[in-house]
Amino acid sequence: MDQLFLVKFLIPLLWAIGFLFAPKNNEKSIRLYALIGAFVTLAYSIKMYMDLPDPGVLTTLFKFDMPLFFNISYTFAMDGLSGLLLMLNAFLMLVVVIATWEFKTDKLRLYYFLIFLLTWAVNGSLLSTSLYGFYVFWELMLIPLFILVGVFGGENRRYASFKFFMMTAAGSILMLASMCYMSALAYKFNGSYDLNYEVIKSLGLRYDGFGSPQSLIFWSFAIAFFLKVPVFPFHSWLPDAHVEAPTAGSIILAGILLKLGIYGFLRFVIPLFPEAVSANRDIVMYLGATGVIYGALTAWVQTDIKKLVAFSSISHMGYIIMGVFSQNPLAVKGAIFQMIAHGISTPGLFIGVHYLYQRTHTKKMDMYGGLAAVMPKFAILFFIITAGSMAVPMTCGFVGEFMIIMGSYQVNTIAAFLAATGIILSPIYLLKMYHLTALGEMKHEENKSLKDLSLLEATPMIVLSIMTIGFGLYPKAIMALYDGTINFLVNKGL
Amino acid sequence: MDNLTFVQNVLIFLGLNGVALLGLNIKKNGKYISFAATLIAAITFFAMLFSRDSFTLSELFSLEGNKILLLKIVSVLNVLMILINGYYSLEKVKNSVLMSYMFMGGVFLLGANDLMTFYVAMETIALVGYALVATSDLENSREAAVKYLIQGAVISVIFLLGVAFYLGATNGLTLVGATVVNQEFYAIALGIFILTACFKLGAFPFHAWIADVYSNVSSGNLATNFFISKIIIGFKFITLLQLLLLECDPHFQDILVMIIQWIAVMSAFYGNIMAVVQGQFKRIIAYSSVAHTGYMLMMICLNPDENLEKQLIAYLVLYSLTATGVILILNQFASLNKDKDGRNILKSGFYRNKGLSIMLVIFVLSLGSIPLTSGFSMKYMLFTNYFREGFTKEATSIFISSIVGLAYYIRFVSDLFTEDEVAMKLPAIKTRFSESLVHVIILVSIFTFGIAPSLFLGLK
Repeated sequence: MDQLFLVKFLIPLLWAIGFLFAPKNNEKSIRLYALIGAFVTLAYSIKMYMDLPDPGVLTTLFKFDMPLFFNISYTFAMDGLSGLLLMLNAFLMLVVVIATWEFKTDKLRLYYFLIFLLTWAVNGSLLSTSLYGFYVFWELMLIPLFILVGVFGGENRRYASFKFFMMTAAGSILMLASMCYMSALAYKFNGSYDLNYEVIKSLGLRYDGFGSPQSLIFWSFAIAFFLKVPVFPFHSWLPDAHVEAPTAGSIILAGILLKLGIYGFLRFVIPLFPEAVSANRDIVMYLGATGVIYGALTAWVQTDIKKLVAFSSISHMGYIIMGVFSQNPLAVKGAIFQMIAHGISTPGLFIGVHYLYQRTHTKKMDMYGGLAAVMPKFAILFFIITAGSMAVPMTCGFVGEFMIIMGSYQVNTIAAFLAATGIILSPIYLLKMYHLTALGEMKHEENKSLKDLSLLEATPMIVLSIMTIGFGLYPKAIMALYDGTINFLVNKGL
Repeated sequence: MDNLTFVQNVLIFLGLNGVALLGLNIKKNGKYISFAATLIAAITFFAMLFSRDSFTLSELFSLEGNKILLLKIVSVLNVLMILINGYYSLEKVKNSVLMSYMFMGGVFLLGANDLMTFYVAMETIALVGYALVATSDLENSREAAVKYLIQGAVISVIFLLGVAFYLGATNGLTLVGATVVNQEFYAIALGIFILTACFKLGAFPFHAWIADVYSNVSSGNLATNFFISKIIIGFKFITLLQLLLLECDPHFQDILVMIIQWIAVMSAFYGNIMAVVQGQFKRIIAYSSVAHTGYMLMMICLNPDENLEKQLIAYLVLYSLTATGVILILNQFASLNKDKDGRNILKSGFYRNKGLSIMLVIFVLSLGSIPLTSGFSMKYMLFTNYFREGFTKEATSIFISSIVGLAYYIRFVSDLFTEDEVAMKLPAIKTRFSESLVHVIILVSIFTFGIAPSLFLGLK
């Protein structure tokens, strides 16, 4: 056990509290404080990963009994999968701080407070291996994002934040109902409400059809996670949330929060309810494939660039859910890789949209056009990231999608075939987006005076572009980080 | 000797409150006399509760175990409310006097071992309740009080009919150790008692009075209603019906349990759905209380158990405390707003008083059962009990209804952070010491029970 774990774990929370006491009128020092906090969080996340004795095994970092809270034990643990996502989370926070450095608001302290609190809650979810802990942080995540969208969002922010909160919280309540049911069983068998891996497995939840306990619990968890991912047809909150959210919200949402739904499947659902997973495998794979096509087709017809990126997320997350549920090692490996790839490319696209909006004050694509002439740096970087999102070979987006389709094909040919159409569709809508934005003639005179990216603005996009190409050319750099975990999932869970 | 102490204390309590009542009619310094008398009465009675573990006056009345625990809690709340009423304005001392009588009704209701004592105590609480509503000085207070009075009278008559059936079924009115000689009459009596409980607690479809009363009663009086009436009546009815159901014929027992479960589920759905569509905050709280009644009503179907009683007390007290906290904060926001109870009073609230807004956020999130708050741990505990007893479908249904409940709780939060030009120009909200004290007490309770519920509830 890591004796300093709690200190490391609490850093983002303590940093968040620090914002409440920061001087109100000194914007520069607040931003600097945020930047340092983001660096520190990233540094300790990397250090925590590096300290793992074996990334393939879930290593307990901290465990404590809570006799006063239903006498349960609380375990923080980490393996390659959670470590990878922990680093992605910290990295994205740093990207958010840099990309929104010029963000103008009179509530800057609240803004950073919410970002750091959200990051901390995500870390808590990733590291909790007891269901209680996972649920506590899972719920905690909703509140800062709800306020972030509700306070700093666009015109319809109230509606979007409300819809986001209600839909995701509805799923959580179903999950809570199942937890209560399992707790009741655990109390009957063991005289304790504790719900850790071993206890849940020992409950012997039988599976013999849809109405059986394991099936119902599986579906309640699945709906909660489907809503978070989001999987078609549980996706309707996502476009609204993305369109109305401030850039920071969109980056964190697309970059890491959506992945927590997938993580929930990998960490809890697949290992704990294997029969139900196998029985419902095809249904979920078809849902994933439908999401790929639906997301792509809907993105195609969008005129709002942020909405287009939001629907592209639904399409990409469709691949991931399909890969995870295929129960094929290659596809699962690809799905996890795709989580990272999507966590790089989509935040990159949102940052690009943010810079465009800052300059033109519109998200309508027909108001852009020909921007490459006046913003060449932006055009190049935006193209690389767009290429990553459309899964062009030698970019990170290609590796994951290719592995998912290959692996899924061995399990469900039709679903894999349907999902493969996404490979044709994603270039259509993403190239349309790029064409309408950067290429062609400049139709609007006012765009001629637009300034290209400053070094500060370009920095996050440069880093994301390098990662897009780097991980596309050398995917092993990422895969090596969670390889062992896949073996663990394949042997124990899958 | 000790029992004599109890009688003496009751007499002192009533005597001092009689003085307080007379004091209200004295023009010069009368209110000070009333305030002092009610406060001394409440503190003396509170102190007396620590002198013994049980009080038995006769077969008709006894207090022991968790009943004493509940009385201690309500006594503290009673003293606190008297202090706050006095601090806030001596004009409100009359409410404290009424509250004291309601409290005494509660003491006798809790200790009642026969149906006549039970009936008289219940009516005492109800009569004071009418008075509290009628003296609220709001536009429709009297109309609401009359509505409450008439409906209450009807339910009292029905309850007496139940008493008659009970007499026919057991050849007596005692609630402890009665022998059932006629199961049909016994089942009818229990059915009527369940109906009465549903009315008194405001469960669907006997909730018609609740929204009118809540929206036409002043905040302090509403808080009193929560503190005393709901907590004590809820506890007494639920624990009593648990015991009485045990003596029932299994066939009738199944039917009664089914009825209770249906009422619980319907209350949860109806309360939550109706709360979402309300435009006034007090009505939202009223309908949410219908839903919460649904959540706890199913406890009647569980086997009686001392730990379960503690859990019920915790649920009732914490729900009442949190809801009261919400009402008091809403009242503070409303005080500077033209629209006293409309949806707009919270707009821009966060920018006008951050501390108060954060308190309100925590209170409503607790009512919405967000983890680390008492609302979450109480709900978790309650529903784990239901699942353990095999009420899977009913408990799941109620869970699903609570999804709707989240909608109106989160609306409070959303309003607080919404910037509104008109509201932004309103002056900042100032908080009195007494109000802050109440908020802090509620906050501490929310987190203490949210993080360490087992400390108090005997959970293993």
